[in-house]
Formats: sequence, structure tokens, C-alpha cells
Amino acid sequence: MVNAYVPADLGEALRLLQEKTVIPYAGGTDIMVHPQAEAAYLFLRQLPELNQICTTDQYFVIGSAVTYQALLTQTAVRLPDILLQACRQVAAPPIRNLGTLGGNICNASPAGDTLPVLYALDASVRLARLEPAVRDCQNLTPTIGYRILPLRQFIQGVRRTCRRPEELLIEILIPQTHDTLTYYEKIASRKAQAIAKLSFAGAASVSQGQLQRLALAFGSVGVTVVRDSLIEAKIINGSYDPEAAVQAYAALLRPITDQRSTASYRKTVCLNLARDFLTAVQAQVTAGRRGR
Amino acid sequence: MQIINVQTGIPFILNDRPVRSLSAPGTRLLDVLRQEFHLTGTKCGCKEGECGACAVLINGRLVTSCLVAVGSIAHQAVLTIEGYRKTERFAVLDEAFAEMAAVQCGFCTPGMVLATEALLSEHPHPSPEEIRQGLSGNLCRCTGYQALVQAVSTAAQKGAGLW
Ligand SMILES: Cc1cc2nc3c(=O)[nH]c(=O)nc-3n(C[C@H](O)[C@H](O)[C@H](O)COP(=O)(O)OP(=O)(O)OC[C@H]3O[C@@H](n4cnc5c(N)ncnc54)[C@H](O)[C@@H]3O)c2cc1C
Ligand code: FES
Ligand code: FES
Repeated sequence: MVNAYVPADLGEALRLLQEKTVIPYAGGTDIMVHPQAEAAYLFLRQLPELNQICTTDQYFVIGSAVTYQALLTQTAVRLPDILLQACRQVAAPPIRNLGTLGGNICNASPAGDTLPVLYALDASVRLARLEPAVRDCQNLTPTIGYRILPLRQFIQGVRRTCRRPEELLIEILIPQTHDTLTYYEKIASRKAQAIAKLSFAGAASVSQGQLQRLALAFGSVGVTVVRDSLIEAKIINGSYDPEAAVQAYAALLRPITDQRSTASYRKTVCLNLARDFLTAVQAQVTAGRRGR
Repeated sequence: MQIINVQTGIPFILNDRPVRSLSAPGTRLLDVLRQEFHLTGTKCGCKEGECGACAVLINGRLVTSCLVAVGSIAHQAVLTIEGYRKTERFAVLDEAFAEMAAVQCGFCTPGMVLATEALLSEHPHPSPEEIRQGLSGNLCRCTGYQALVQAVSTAAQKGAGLW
């Protein structure tokens, strides 16, 4: 007989993960496409700890089980516009009512729509697990241990993350940067309910004609989102103008042809989007210098 | 901690009545509705979340029931087309869909009607663009969509005040 579990709080959920082989289930929109009859699901959506959205001094903090719809309709926190833009383009209303940010990350599809944006925003993930109880301690309630990893490190390949079996992703942390320019484009065969052929997220912070921060992230053109710190650094220090940068990305991007699109279409459009974004960044830098 | 399985059953509210499903917790809500409760108004078009024919409302929110494990909805309220058709709002949609010829084979209709209910609850006076977005998770192979957009506009006008 297959059991499923509805824990009341994070501690109960983590204890279960440690004691049994269970599958964390958030919105189910990836899991239920290929459900396994014998799977023991650990339902997460009701956990209060995974449903919060708040800010700290440094971060926007989004609970892993917050749905796209909740993210888009909440008014408590002013989340980065570029993230909302990406969430609006995920699937369609019935899926956005179920699907979660944590699910998008843990599913680690190269076509996950929020991933290029989260990479561009330097997001991290917070994982939790139960630490074994210390023997000689009076209080035997085990404590919850946490670790924080940059998303770029957490996602390791197609549907591969470095989550340990006893861990849950509990929060997504997004640094509160002051980007002066953000850019998001998802290219798919129709506007709604379509997986991306490719996507691009760009973010830049320009202050008084100085480029301070720059991020370009490409989705669906590699096993994970592609971001290259070396090229970004060369653009920031002025060694690359937009065209030189586009040439560098041309050498870097190696998309494949599959049922959704061809390698050459993906590459051409990615480079066009990067050029468009970098030209806009340069215009902001030039305008800032004139204004100084 | 609640443990659920075929022996404990899964209690939930179905069209305003408390029920208990005895299906395995991982079973698709779609299959539970059609096979266990014999409510066949909820249609199965793809089992992949793509077509919206299986759409129902859970706590008032539109979801594709093929992507919902029944174990995940303990104590929640499910509304299917069979429950919705007893409402005054349904009567308005029924008339508007018929008037605008927004129903041909009818396979997509239960999902379209519930998507319209969810849309009008949020936007009682939707623009054509909002209507297209509200119905964007529901496929129709017959009507070409324009008739559906007109039906929803008509319903919003005729049923003003109901949503
Ligand atoms: C019709 C359809 C259209 C779609 N369109 C898009 C689209 O346009 N863009 C897009 O990006 N995606 C799309 N998806 C994919 C999917 O909806 C998203 O990836 C969604 O964000 C998954 O979230 P979920 O909560 O439903 O994940 P689930 O299915 O609940 O989980 C996904 C995986 O993550 C694990 N997991 C979930 N939460 C946690 C956690 N907190 N800790 C540890 N592990 C966890 C699960 O065990 C599972 O392996 C689509 C899916 C469908 C069916
Ligand atoms: S059967 Fe559920 S969306 Fe098609
Ligand atoms: S009326 Fe036939 S699918 Fe819509």
C-alpha cells in the first residue's frame, strides 16, 4: 500500500525525508506528466515555511512553494520586474495556479523559464535538512541545518541538481541589486502554453556613465543556463564593445537542434537579443557620461 | 503529520458535498472524478496539462485536474462543471456560449466555461486581450476562438453584477 504524506511543518517534512524514500511534490506540474503509481509523495504546498515572500536587508526571499500566480498577485514585496515578466509567460493560468518557483528550479530543465532570470539576478537557493540529534544533549529535538548555494552551482545539468536526498529547497534568495536596465525575451511557437525555443535575460546597472554590474543569461541553448563571467568582465572593463561581445558569445553558444527548434535559429536569435541588449546598455552608459 | 493511503481515503469537498476518495494518493484527480465519482463532464484530452479539457476549480482557482494528485487536495473544495451548472452564473454563460456559437463538438466546453468563471471572478469586465489570456490554457479544435472571445464578452455584459 502506497502512502502519501501531508506534513504540518518543515520539521516534520525533513524528518520524513530522512527516514523514508519519498518524492517532494510541490505543484505537481512536472511530476504528474509522468506519474509513478508506486511513488510515495511528500506534499509541500501547505507548509507555511515554504509559502512566504519577504525582504531582508540584502535579499528578496521567496518560499520555494509559492506558485507563479501567488507571486504575480502578491503586493507585499516589490519583486524585480524581470522575474514577474518571466512568470507571466510560464504556461497558462491553470498551470500558473499550481506550478512553483522551487519546482522550476529542482526540475532543472534547460528550458525552465525562470532560470535565465534567476541566473542573471545572481540568485541563490537555501536548502534545509535535519541535523542528527546530538547524543549527550538534554534536548533531543534535532535541529534544522541550512546551506545556501548560488543557483549556478546548485543546478548541475539536465534535470540534475546537487540536492541531497534528505534536503528540501526552502527559499530562493535574490540580491536586491539596483539594475537600471533589464531585458527579458522568451521565444516560443505561441504566446501561451509553449516551452521556450530559447530565452534571454539581461540585467545591467549603470551609474553616472559607469557600468557597474552586467549579466547576460541564455536559456535552452545548453544543458544548463549559459552565463559567462569572463565575457561580462571584459564588457564591463571596456575591452569588448557590443559587437566584440557578440562575437565572443557566438564562439561560446553551442545549441542543438531538436523538436522545438534548430541550432542555427537558436544561435542567431540569441546573438541578436544579446546585441540589442548590449546596445541599450551602451546607450545608457553614453547618456550617463554626457550628463556628468 | 497526516498519512494518507487507500485505507484512510482522501476527504475533500466535491461540488459542495463532503466526499472521500479511495483511490491511491498519486491518482490523477481527473481519473478520480471520472471513474470513481462518475462525473464525466470533466474531459480527458491529453493528460499532460496542455489542453485544458480537464479543468476544474479548486478553492476557486482554475487547475488542470490531470496534473493534480488526489492526495494533494485533502480537505479542499473542488468544483466541476456538474456543480457549476446549478449556478446563476452558469445560466448566463450557457446562453452566451449558445448565442455566439461558441460550442461546436463541445469537448472543450466544460473547461472553457470554468476558465471563463475563473476569469470573470478576477476581471468582471475583461478586455479581449484579457479574455484570450484567461482562456490561453484551453484548446478548442472547432470554433477558431473568436466565437469564444465573443461569448465571454457577451456574458460579461449580460451578467454584469453577477461577478
Ligand atoms: C502544460 C505545461 C506547460 C508548461 N509550461 C512551462 C513553461 O512555459 N515554462 C516553464 O518553465 N515550465 C513549464 N512547465 C513545467 C512546470 O510547470 C514548471 O517547471 C513548474 O515550475 C514546476 O513546478 P511544480 O511546483 O509544479 O513542480 P513539481 O512537479 O511539484 O516538482 C518538480 C520537481 O522538483 C522537485 N521539487 C519540487 N519542489 C521541491 C522542493 N521544495 N525541494 C526539493 N525538491 C523539490 C520534485 O520532486 C520534482 O522532481 C509546463 C508544464 C506543463 C505540464
Ligand atoms: S487532459 Fe488535462 S490538460 Fe489535457
Ligand atoms: S467545440 Fe470542439 S473542441 Fe471546442
